[in-house]
Amino acid sequence: MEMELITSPEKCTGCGICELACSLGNDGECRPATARVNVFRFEKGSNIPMLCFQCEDAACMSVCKTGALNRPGNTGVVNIDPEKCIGCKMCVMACPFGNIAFSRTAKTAIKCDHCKGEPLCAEFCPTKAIEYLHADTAVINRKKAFSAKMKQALEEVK
Amino acid sequence: MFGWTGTVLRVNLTEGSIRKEDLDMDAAKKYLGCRGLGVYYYMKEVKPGIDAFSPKNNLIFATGVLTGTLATNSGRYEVVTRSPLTGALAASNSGGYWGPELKYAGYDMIIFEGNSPRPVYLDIYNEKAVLRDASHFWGMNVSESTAGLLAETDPDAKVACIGPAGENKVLIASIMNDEHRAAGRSGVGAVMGSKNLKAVVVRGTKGIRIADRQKFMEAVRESRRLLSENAVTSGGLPAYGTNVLVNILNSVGSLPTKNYIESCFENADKIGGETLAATRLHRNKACASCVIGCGRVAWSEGKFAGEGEGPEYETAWCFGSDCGIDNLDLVNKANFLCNELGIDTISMGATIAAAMELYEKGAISKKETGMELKFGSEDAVIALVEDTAYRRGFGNELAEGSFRLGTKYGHPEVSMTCKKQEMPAYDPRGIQGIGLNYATSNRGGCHVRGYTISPEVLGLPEKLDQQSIEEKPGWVKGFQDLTAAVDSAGMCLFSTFALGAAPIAAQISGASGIDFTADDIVTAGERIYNMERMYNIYVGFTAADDTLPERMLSEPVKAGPMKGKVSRVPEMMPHYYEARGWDKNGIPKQEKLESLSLGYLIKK
Amino acid sequence: MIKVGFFADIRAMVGTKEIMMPTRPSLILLMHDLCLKYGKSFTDLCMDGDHISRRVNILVNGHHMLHLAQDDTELKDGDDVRIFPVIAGG
Repeated sequence: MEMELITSPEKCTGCGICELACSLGNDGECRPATARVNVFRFEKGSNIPMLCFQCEDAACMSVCKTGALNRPGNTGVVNIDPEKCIGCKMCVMACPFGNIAFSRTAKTAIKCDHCKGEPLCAEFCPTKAIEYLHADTAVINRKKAFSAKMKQALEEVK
Repeated sequence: MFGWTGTVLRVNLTEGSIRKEDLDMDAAKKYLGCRGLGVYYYMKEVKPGIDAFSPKNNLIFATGVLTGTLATNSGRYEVVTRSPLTGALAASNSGGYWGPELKYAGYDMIIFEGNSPRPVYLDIYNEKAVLRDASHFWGMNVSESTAGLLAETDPDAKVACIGPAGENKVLIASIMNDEHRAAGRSGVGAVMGSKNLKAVVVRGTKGIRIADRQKFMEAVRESRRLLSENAVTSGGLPAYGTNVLVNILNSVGSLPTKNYIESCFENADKIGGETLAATRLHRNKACASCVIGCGRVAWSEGKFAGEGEGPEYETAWCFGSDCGIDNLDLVNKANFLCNELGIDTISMGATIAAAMELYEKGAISKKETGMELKFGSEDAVIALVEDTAYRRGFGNELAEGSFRLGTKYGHPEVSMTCKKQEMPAYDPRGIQGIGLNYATSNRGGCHVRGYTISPEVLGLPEKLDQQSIEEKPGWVKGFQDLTAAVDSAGMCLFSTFALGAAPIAAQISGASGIDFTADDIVTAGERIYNMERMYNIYVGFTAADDTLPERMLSEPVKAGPMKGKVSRVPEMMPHYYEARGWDKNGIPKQEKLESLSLGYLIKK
Repeated sequence: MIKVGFFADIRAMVGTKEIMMPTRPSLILLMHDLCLKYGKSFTDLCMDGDHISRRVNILVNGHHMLHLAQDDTELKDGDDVRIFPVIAGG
């Protein structure tokens, strides 16, 4: 079943818990600087969480000469095989979003891989600014929330 | 090393030297960090009674064992020094993102010694720490300074700085971090200014190691569950911020109005959290690792147009009902201005209110103030906040706080202070326990140190009668002790609406690898509380200072549900001392100090 | 009549800041009237079966109902009742 990590930046309060959960879960220490998800805080309380978009036509995959970057099965997730990664960092150059990095400690490229099916950022996010949802129906709640506003508007003009 | 980083940065501003040293782990285990650890180091290294602006007065920025970790609501740090306002210890707590960044750079604490001959700022990037010239930033407000400093260092760094108020040694100056968060009380900004230290800029890219990841994450998940099930932390605070208290306090007849002359404010709703949320709020905001998100990103309109973060309840109170003002735009603007200039909102508003009373009494006039200053004078508030930061005109008097102001003009009774620090926002005549807390808080008039408003007004964890006095000493002590521990761990006080000592201890144990029980945490808090108390005793505070302004004791509430009430702090005090294990003079008994491993303090 | 004030998110729930209600001899009877008027979400917040829930703090003339006669607190004409959800600050 294909799942999506979907962000709703309008719900983000800028707490950065996603960075802490991600780095602690994946790298064993609370280290926002090298987490695979990062939050960027702008003026007027606007906060944007950024993590790999698992692009359909992934630039990182197309520049990877060793096949270290691959998309197994039908999870939809672009994975990294550290055994095959030679650390050329072409993927880092190619990703237009900055969502893949090279880890000097792990000596491999690193990116969000949904924590192998139990993404910690989504679990720990206090406001559902990051959610782990079935890909087919990932945006249905957003549609539903807006439809409720339309219902209210229509009732007002009855 | 788990939880803590194990490294302290020591900066001698007189010499311009910086060195690193190992953290005293024995102290870290006893005092946890932030407030407790900072106070311990301060008391160990500085002779009691040193003048606050002396080069011998150390200024400490301390994080806690949990600061910067995934632990719930753990983004806090503390500024510790001797207060120029009160002469007692100052320990000012702040949130935002600066504290965690210091941990990621690899430091638990920075100790500033001496005074710099020229304006400087400390620039930290992981192991690299350098003092840089700050003369081109001197005079700038907080947002300009922050922008300039980031441009000069690293756009992703975090900045803690003073504004013009700190530079001018205004006794109620704050230290601001991340532009909108304040280490507000007790004039810590003035001490920083006296050291010619403009800012501490930190960029940290390292991590904090956790001893037992599984145990820690289990403990965090359990605390998360408790926080999400609690109506305060999951509902009220994120939606309305602390300002939701305006209507509550007014409804129970304990909203100090016009410098505590009255206790109810007819138009309270206009400056409350509901109105703020409905009319002037962009959205809420969270500090580092916070699940609550009580921060306000707000604006003001019209004549008092502005943008920024806040106001908190105490700010809405001090510029609102305390000054007889019901204009939310004015309240917001005054708040934003204090943040830009680096002034403690509570002491600023309360000092202006005291000045308004002086004016209405005829003790001062336009000759001194330069402007009309009756209660309700909106324009005057804005002008005076600015003048205070620059010590201009009458602002120079306000810069000294309400105690010195009232005394100078022959009316010390207008100063609503304890130990010379302004009491905030909750009328102690209407609420007995908070009055006892004000009177015994180690840093002077303060509500957060023992927030018994929670049981007395809000009914959490259980409802106590505002006017009852028998059980209050025990409750005040309990809140003061737990708060001291929570402050010291690096966790935000608001987590305690949902968390008791046990889940907090579990998180500290998981992070540090050291077994802390709930009792250990509460004992640590009691230890810290008594340690702070001893400092105050060394510098000459006595039982006579554990009191409230005369008005609270002898002028009954004029109207409303608490009509006729006065504070009964004097009746509660002997029982409080007893509950604390102090003698009748309020001095911790020898056996109490020894039981808390503070025996070494007796010899002084 | 009795003046009833609503605070925090109860305002959005009931759509108003305050309302005048017919006088009832006790708080619980007034609450029944309010529940009938404002429906399910208000009732779920304020009531646990037949008793007033601990999810709300109710003040009668500025005094918390827990320190008066709780559900059976007497009400009279001209009283001021205020209903707050359990919320806080600092």
